[in-house]
Amino acid sequence: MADTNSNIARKRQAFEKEALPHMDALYRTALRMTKNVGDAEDLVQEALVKAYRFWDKFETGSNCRAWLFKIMTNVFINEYRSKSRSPMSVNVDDIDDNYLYGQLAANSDGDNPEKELFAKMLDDDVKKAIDELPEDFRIVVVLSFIEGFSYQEIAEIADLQLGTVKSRLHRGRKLLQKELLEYAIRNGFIKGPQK
Amino acid sequence: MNCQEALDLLYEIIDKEASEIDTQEVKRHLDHCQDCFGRYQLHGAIQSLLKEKLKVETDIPAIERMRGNILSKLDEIDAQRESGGPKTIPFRMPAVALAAVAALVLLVGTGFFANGLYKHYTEYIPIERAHWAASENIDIFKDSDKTARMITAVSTDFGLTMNPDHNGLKLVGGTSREIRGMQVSQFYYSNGEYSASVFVIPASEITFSDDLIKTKVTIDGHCFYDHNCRGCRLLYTINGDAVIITASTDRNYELTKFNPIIGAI
Repeated sequence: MADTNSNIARKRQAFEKEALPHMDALYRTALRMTKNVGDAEDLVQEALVKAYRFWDKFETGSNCRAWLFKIMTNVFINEYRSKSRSPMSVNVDDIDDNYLYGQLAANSDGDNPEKELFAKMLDDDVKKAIDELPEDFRIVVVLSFIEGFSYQEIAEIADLQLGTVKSRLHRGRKLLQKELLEYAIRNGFIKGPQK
Repeated sequence: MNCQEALDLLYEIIDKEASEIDTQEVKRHLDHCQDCFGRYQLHGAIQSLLKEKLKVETDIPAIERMRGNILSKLDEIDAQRESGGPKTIPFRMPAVALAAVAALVLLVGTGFFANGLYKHYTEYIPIERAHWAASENIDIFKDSDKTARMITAVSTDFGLTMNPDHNGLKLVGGTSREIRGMQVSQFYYSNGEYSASVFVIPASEITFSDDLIKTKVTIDGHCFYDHNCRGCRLLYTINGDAVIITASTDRNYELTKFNPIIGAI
């Protein structure tokens, strides 16, 4: 059945008002997902066009932002997931949760070692550390850290069990801390581990 | 609450995901435990600094570019909806036809002939069925790596394990055939172990339900394709045709039935 023209116009208007304003947020997450500007733009466009095709399925009043991120994450996983993605077998269990804490406490003199450390780090360095996370961890870390989605929302967006979200986030954090610390040591921001 | 219990809740507290009761308990513990307090403070600070560093300045030219592209795509969709759904665009220009065939030949060329599995060259895909390939929007066979990636993704969704190299999936043939009374084009990918097909079916003849994750394509209420098929996904519709990927455990299913796409010439 053909939609009436006024019906189409109404849908279009609602979509432009409710969905398109999330383009900024989608784009910044797409950048971290794809790690590349061209792919990120393609991903956002593909996700929003897909969202428009399925706009009838979006329940007015529900969380449009989370719905759009779900579509984009799905498109990313299905079509953009890198061929050479890092295996999930990254062993993070041997990284202690308090690794960074211990290292900072042992190797710094100031009261706020973390502030000193981060003050020297460039935004790009931190982004690079995120980009180096294995893809499955990176997706949940980005959705949590950058977009501030709750564990439950991330579970729905990435189609994962709640427990999987928690464990990937936890493991992602550990790896990130390790990467940042190693980076800081390499660049002489803090001293290396003392034997 | 002891130190271990308090530290186990660290990230949930930082992410504001812990229950009210747990949050209160942790607060009480931190009031009298300097060591745990220090750890909470550090991790909380790291989290906020990370967030600070990850803030992205809006790239206005990029946003404008995307907005423009999206709006024109939406216009196309609206126009299609106004006209009551996708229309089949006849295959008009010989030049375009030749280009389409040339593209297909190019893609099939080496992979196909190196394969040596094909014996029958009698059934060809009618030229009019190849019209979709001429469209700018169809890049599925222009980028065989992307196609393999999509097939891998669909197959993985349906429980077929494929490694990130797509286990050597290759386009090995194509044919025109009848499924449930429908004349469809089928492009067959295989690695000798798993197979996947890309179908092109008149969109008007199928119905599909979609929960954004999985698509079920049916003709008259029956799954349109059932040769050990694990599932399928509608990729998109174009010029009145639906492009669908199916994932199957068939091993080289009736390979001899698949004919070289260059038969279209």
